[in-house]
Amino acid sequence: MAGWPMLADDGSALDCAKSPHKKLKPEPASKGSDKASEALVEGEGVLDKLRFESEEFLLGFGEEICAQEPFRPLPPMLGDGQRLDLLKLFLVVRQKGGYHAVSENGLWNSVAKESGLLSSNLASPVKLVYVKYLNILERWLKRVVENEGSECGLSNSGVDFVGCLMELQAELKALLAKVPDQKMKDEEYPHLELATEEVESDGGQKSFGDEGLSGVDSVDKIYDTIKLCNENEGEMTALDGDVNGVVCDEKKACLDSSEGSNGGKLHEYDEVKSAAVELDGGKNCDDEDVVILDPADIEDRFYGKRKRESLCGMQNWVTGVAVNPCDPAVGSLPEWSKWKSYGKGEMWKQVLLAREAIFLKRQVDSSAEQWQKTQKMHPCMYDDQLGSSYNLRERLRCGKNLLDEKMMSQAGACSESSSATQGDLDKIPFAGGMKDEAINQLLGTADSSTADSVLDKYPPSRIPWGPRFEAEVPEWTGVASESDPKWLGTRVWPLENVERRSLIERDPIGKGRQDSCGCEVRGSIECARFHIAEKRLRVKLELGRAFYQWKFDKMGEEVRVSWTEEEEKKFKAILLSNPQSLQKCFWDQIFKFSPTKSSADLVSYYFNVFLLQRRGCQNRLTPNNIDSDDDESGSGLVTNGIGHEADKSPSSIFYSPKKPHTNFR
Amino acid sequence: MRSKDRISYFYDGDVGSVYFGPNHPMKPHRLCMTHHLVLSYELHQKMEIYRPHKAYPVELAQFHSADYVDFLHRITPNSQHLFSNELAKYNLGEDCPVFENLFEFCQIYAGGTIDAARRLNNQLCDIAINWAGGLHHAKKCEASGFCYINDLVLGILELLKHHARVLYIDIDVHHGDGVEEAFYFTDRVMTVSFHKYGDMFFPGTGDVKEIGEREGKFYAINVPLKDGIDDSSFTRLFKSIISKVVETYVPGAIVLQCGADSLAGDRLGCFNLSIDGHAECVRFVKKFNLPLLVTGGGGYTKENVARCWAVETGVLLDTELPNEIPENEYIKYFGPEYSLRIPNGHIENLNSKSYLSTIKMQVFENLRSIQHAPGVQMQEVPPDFYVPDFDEDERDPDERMDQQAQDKHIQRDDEYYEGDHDNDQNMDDV
Repeated sequence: MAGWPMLADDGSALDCAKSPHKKLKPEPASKGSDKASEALVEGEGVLDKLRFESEEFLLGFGEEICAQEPFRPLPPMLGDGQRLDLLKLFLVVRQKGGYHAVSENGLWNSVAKESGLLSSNLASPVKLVYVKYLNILERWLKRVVENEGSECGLSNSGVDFVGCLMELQAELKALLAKVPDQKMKDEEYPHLELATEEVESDGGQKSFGDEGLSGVDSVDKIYDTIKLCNENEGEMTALDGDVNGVVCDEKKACLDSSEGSNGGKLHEYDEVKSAAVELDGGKNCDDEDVVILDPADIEDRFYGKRKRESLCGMQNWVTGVAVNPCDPAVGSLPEWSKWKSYGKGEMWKQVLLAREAIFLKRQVDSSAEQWQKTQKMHPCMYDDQLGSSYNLRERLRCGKNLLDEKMMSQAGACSESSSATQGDLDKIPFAGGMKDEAINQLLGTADSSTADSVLDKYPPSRIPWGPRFEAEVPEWTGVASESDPKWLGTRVWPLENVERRSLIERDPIGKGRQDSCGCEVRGSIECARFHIAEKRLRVKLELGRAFYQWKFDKMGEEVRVSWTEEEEKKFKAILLSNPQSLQKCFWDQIFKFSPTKSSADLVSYYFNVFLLQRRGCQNRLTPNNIDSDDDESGSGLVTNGIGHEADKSPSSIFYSPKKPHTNFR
Repeated sequence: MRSKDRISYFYDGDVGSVYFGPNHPMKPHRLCMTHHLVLSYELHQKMEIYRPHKAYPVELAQFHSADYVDFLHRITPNSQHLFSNELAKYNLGEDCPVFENLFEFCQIYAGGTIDAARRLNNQLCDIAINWAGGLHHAKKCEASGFCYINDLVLGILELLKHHARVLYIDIDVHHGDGVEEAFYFTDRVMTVSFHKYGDMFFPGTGDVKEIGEREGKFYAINVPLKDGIDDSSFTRLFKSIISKVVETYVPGAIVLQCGADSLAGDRLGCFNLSIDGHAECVRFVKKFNLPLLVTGGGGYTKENVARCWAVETGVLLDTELPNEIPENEYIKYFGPEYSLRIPNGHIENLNSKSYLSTIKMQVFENLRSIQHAPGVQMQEVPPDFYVPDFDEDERDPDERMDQQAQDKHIQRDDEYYEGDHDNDQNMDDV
């Protein structure tokens, strides 16, 4: 196939799981990637010198870009064995105006030549290499230049990231301007680190593309491959057990059962990445007409390149633990939070990494299947045991960082969910670019609308975020904080002194209205008035002080007691003289005519007397045409007879309801 | 049978006279009517009634920005013409007019909800009711949809002092956008809103795809509905979603916003719910036996609001109210039938079965993403809760419910119950 990655340089299988760990580490110092670099030193001795100077940049770049879109193994080689100088290639393309310009003008052949390649007709391999290795950098730089604010695409990764990215940008610019050579070398460094990962994923993916197998078949294929490795090398029995879905005892034995979400994060990270890698590989196979290797070949390459020694030790260790879990020689695991500070020298760490390496494949490819399984999990959230593999996933889910989000959306997409999930998928930062299409295809959620930009994958939220919108929710500390016991309300009922209550003959609680009464004309106005008054007296007696506190003395038609007949007449007249058509405000007039009444009095009279009386009339006269709540309308008034929606007085001292309903409709 | 739950009910006589202005659909007088109806049914014998304290500006500023609270405090109908910029900034004016005693009104209803939450926190009651509260549209820095101060957010913040997770349920016809926005990015509050969505219906948010973000991702649930949903589909949907939510999220307390504008015949709403259907939701939530804060909300056909909330007060007190409304000062408002039943709505139900099941599946799928309660879970003793184990496909929900109610009653009789352990009894239920 056309110059596809050299596998010979790979580190051990564990490296691929290790590199993401390192990238997750916040402090550059911890980046001492002995293994990966060792593998490279032979070919790239120069790197050693430059590595320390630019470590910080690399780390950042790795975190922000490479981690999302892993780099390929280095150095890139073409089909005929020629090595391609990436720096040269990059500069040449840059000089010619960038990827698009070169593509449009068909300049790839000349680019190939200028990059120092000997044979002709290398346009497509060079283009491929460029796309795979450098295009992301180019686009990223372009964005940096074009849009300083582009890092907002990353904002979901936290404020720190943004700041970090900005530094990176500055740094990168400076580097580009001053020491391009160094930059390129530096850039290669993460490539190297990630090389092994690429190999593995690619191997699996090629079989995918080759056979056109369904996802599950492809998974099987990978398993088979791994199994073959085991058989041949006799090293990975523990992992084999895992792959076959057998709950791995060794694992249990050597792992602290309280593995927490942090471990989970790493898994997620891997998963996201490996998905990208695989999909990318698949895409590449399809699009670039790469000669596809037959499965045997894949397997051959797949395990043929591993560093066997490191696995041997690990396997022995696992076997030992399995035989005697309590052996003091095994020692105990540190807290999971400290795991990442341990190097690969620790056996248990190797086992963990190996497990990840296996799982990240398994979980991506069979996530749809696992998704189903997890649904059946009882939400027994206190269970934190290591169980079967989907239990692990379960745990991952409780991780609360941004990676969680990515993982979710991925899993969601795998389950063939609908558009909401598609939206989530869009949010995966850096999963875009040339991989969008592939991802969508593979996940069955094709969406042509996905932008091809790498950095603006995070659509703006409809719900504003920030101190002007959010409530400040404190972290739950597990301890209930004190609330002021002083302000709990003042008890009004039951009354403090209850002697009087016993005197009152009470209706049973919740009793309704009695239909029978001794009144002469049942249902007459007088009858109703009598019963209301009777009830009122009783309520007053019963409630005592509460009667006044609840303003029952200012409720109902009692309110009119304080009004003279003249005032009432005036009030009514003003109201009735204000049909909507006149666009007048009856309240204005009422205030003018009733200077002695406060507005509260007027409102009270309005609700307690006027409307009530009007409603009483409605009830009797037009029971089929009750205007239930449009209080201001004149409908149902004896004088108006009919009418509805007669919105009167749209202007007032209080406010001008130009269209009181529109906002709600 | 007397309810074992201790109910605190909040009412301040002053709210009845608050007036938003002519033709404004929001009529606080409905609170007066509600209270009257509650009392005329003698429900006050079964509960404690409190007058809430008037929340201090500093309390309101627990959520709202200090400048906004301060402005609400200062502004009066007479001075508002001097502050047109601020009025626009805080979205005061048309929907949210400045009226007399505006700030006092806010203090009362917010104080009620805060007090209710505090009483729950201090285990002085099991259920707290504040029909004056529930103004779910108010935003941190602005008024919206007749809401000035978001008492729900304040109440939830208060509950969060004692509970790791609080569940907010909203059955107002409008989307509970203010509450959702306030807690959109946290997993300590899960908001679930059932509302009319589409056709530019206020406030325009509440799509099923709005599920929260960052830490809060999957902790906001929206159930967008179309016009005319009826009792059976609404309650079925409500029960299946809420039981799943409670099972998954395991909240320490629940806040239920009972906006009555989802009733048939509401002046602004467009659903076909009967009072029974509306109250069924309350009954269902009560069955979880978690500390429960019940508030009012919308509701613009005021006699129906009074009916509904009186019935729901009864539901929370385990008291069935007879249909004939007893004599009271406001009985005329309930004519000509003078009964609790309200006329059926005749809005066409546009919610097809397939639409509802799509929504439900979507919600369930998002819920599945949680599975675990969030990290804060681990730091709290798992609260016991009562899951009615609702399964619509298996049995008749009503029958099942009755059985459960029965079980509960049986247990209740011989149970000695201390405030501190009000949930212990459920150990056997689950």
